[in-house]
This record gives sequence, structure tokens and C-alpha cells, in this order.
Amino acid sequence: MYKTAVSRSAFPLWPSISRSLFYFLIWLTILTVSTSIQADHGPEEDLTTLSIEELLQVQIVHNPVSVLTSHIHKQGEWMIGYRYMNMEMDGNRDGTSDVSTASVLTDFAITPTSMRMESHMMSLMYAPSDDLTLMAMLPYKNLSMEHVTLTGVTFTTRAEGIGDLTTLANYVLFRAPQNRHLFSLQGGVSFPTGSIDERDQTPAGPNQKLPYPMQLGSGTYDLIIGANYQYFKDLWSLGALGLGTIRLGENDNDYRLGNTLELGSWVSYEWANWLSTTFRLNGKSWGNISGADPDLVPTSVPTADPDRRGGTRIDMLFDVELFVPGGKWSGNRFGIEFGVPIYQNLEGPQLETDWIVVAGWQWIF
Amino acid sequence: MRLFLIALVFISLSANADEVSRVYMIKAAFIYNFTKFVMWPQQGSYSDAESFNVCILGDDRLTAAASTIQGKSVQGKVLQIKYITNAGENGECEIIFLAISNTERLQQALETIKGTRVLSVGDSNDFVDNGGIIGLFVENNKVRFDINQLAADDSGLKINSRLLELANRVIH
Repeated sequence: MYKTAVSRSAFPLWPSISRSLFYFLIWLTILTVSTSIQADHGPEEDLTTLSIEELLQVQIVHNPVSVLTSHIHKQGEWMIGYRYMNMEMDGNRDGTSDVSTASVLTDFAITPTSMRMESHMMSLMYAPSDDLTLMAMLPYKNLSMEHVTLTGVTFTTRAEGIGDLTTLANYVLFRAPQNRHLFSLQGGVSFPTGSIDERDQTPAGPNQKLPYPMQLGSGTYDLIIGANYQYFKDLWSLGALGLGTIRLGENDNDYRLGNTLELGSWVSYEWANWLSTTFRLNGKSWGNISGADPDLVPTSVPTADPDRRGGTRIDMLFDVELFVPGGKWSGNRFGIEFGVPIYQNLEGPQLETDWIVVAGWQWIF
Repeated sequence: MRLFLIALVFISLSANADEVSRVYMIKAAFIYNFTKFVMWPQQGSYSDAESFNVCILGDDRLTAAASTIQGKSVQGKVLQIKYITNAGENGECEIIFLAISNTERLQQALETIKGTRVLSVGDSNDFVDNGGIIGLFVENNKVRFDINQLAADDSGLKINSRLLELANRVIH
């Protein structure tokens, strides 16, 4: 009954995603780029209209705390960072409609009711040149999922540990005159350092294999490719990014997570040399799982069904960043971002996202 | 796909040819702003000239960005960019931007203009420690500046207290 809710894939390589939504995301990206190019038809950027206080606020490039993959650093610069993310999910959804717990339990013996996904991400970046920034990111995940069974028993499963190590290079391919337009390409590999054998106690017994969303890694080497665009206009900056993750091969548990595609755009303003804000829209689409973990029974709980894992979500996020403008703590900055989904289309039943909060610290030296 | 990649490579090559780094756009705007916070001595052969001259010595890192401040009005005069080949040609300069990375050459140039009524600005390492008056540098993705008050005093330049407050470091 749930299979008809989601449209077919727009492209075979990428996860299931409705055509209209895909075109919306493309439109959003093109809108960002074209808006900035339209703006660029005016006179040259005249930074001399800014006061000296405002000039001290102007960022050379925009490196949001919450969007690590788009970072571009100055030659010889290092950055270490920590980012905490908490995503809260509550209730199930199929397609774009909410689904009650009772409805899910007509087809499954168990259903998840809520989930908390916490991630503590450590990041390290280095720029061997102004055009190349190398980065490595390693998350420590803390996952918990609430369930209810057909007989009304509730239980919680937990998994904790490091996730997959991501290494990425961000290369500036193109700087328009005066650097007002900047286009970079990203390429990298995700290494399967996260566990795909997490177990916990369930009503079926102790030490049971946990379903796919409770595993900490993909179990495969994943290829990451992306593109990033930035436009600058005195204290304003606009950006758009696209990032794809292609899973290579099959993991040791006989499955492969779906490929993912992420498209987003943002606008940012520097209010002071210690404060900036960013508003962004971020769309992400991820595919179903190929193959299946033989230890999981897909008919028992939707999270164990490899054909109920795909989906698309667009988040609207608002970010505030604080900079230490000078002194011995200069180079430190803090950001906090809050987001809510404005669109979710899930090959469900799947847990739907309610809100996301990200808090990060970065030190550039 | 192949055409797309070829197009990207072409764009990359053609764009790099006339690239003007945004960081120099910001630095040029700083130089223009400095004119509002520095008082030059009235005595001098060029104080009555119609143009306010910003001279550039060294490589061409600032050249393209400098065109954005050319023609601006400064202290009732028209800002002109002039290119000089040695520091001894500073006679008509109110500001001299020293685009010199080599420390020895920089020190020689600063020694040449020492005591003249010229505001020396540079962006090389330790610019103010080598005797320059205002040193621009990039920190935390933003352009900032240090001021050598002693060198300014030697040149008879009065720097507004507001500019001194905004400086990252002031050498007294």
C-alpha cells in the first residue's frame, strides 16, 4: 500500500526523486546563480562606499560553519573544527503524508515512533594553495530510536560510535574578475570506518542486529563529487552547491546504501566584524538500499526494509555566526543553525524529520 | 558531459588570465579609506597639486584593483594611480603601496622614503616591523591592518585616533 506514494526516479544514477521536485531544486540553484549574474550587470563592485569599519567585516570568501564542504581557505591556513548536530524525528510519513502508528502496524509487527540522531563531527582542513583546500571529517554518532510493537510494547534501541571518515578536496576552478564569482569543484572519498554491525536488545532478544538507519556507516567506499558557487557583493554573499555521493560496491553485509544528491543555495550578510547571518535552503535526496542484510527481516519493521529507505527532503535553515574579531582568540568562530523541513517525500513509512540544530566551533590559524 | 568538461577548462583558463583577486579589491578600498584618517603636513612641493597620488612600487598585485579607486575625490583632489620603478621617485606621492615581497628590497625601499611625507602601505610579512606605516594582512578570512605610529611620526603624518583604535596592532 505504501509503494505508490513516491514518483519514479528522474535519473537512474540518482535516488528516487520526483521530477517536479528535482526541477525545483535545479531552478533554485539556477536562480541563485542567475540572480547574482543579473546583479553583476551593474557597475563594478565599489567597496570604497564602505566605511573602514565595514571593510573590516568583508569576508574574502564565505565559509559557513554549518556547510563544511564548501570551505575555501587561504594558502597555508589550517582549520580545526567541531560541529554538533541534533536531528529530531517524530512520527511516520509515506510520500508527503503523515501515517499513524496504527496504520503502520497493520503491515508490520513493529514500528519506529521517534528517533534522535546526534553527531559530533571533528574536522581538519589545510590549504596548500589559495585554490585548493583539503579536508577530513570524522563524526562520532549517537543514535537512539523509540519503537512500539503490535502488542503495545515500547522499547528503545541505541547505537554509538564513529561514523565514516570523509576526505575531500575543494578546488577553485574559476574566479571571475574581482573574484565576485567563484566556482569550485569537490572530489573525495568516504571511508567505511563506521560500523554496520550495531546490535542492541529488542523484544526479539538480546544482541539483535539493528536496522539500517541505526548503523553508523555505509560499509562501502563512497565517491563524493560536488560543485560550489559563490557570489560576493560587499557585505552580501550568495551561494549554491551540489554534492553527490556514489556508493561503490557492496558492503560486507551484502547491501549498498542508496546514492545521495544534495542541492542547496544560501544568502549571507555580515552585520559586524563579529556577526554574520545566513539563510539557506537545502534539498537532499537519497535512494533505496540495493541488496539486503541477511540478518534483518524486512517484514518485521519498516526500517529493516531496503525498499523503504529512499526519500527527498528540503530544509529551510537560519544560521548565526559569531567571530572573535581580534586579540589572542582571533581566528575562533562559533555558529548555531536551526532548520525545519519544508518538504518531505519519503518512500515510507519512514520517520519524518521535525527539526535540526547545528552548533559549531572553528579555529583558523 | 565531455563538452561540459571542455567548457569548464576553457572558462578556467580564460578567467585566470584577467583574474583580479577580491582581496586586492578590499585592500584598494582600505587605501582609499586611509585617506580620510590621515593628515598630511601642509608644507611640501605637492600639497597644492590638483591630484592626490597613490603610487605603486613593485609587482602588479594591486594594479587591476587600483583602477577601482582611480578618479575618486580625496581631500578636494582627484585620486590618481601612478606607477614608479624605484622608491626615490616618491616626490609626487601622498601614498606609496609597496608590493615587494623580498624583505631586503622592502627594507631598502622603506629606508629611501623614511622621513618623507609619504604614507607607506604594504602587505608583505612584517611590513610595519620593517618600518612601513600601515601593513595590510589577511586574518580569519578578512583583511586587517597594523600601524607603525613611530614611522608615521617620522614622516610628519597625523593618524586619526579612530584608525588607531581599529588597527590590529599599533607600534608606539
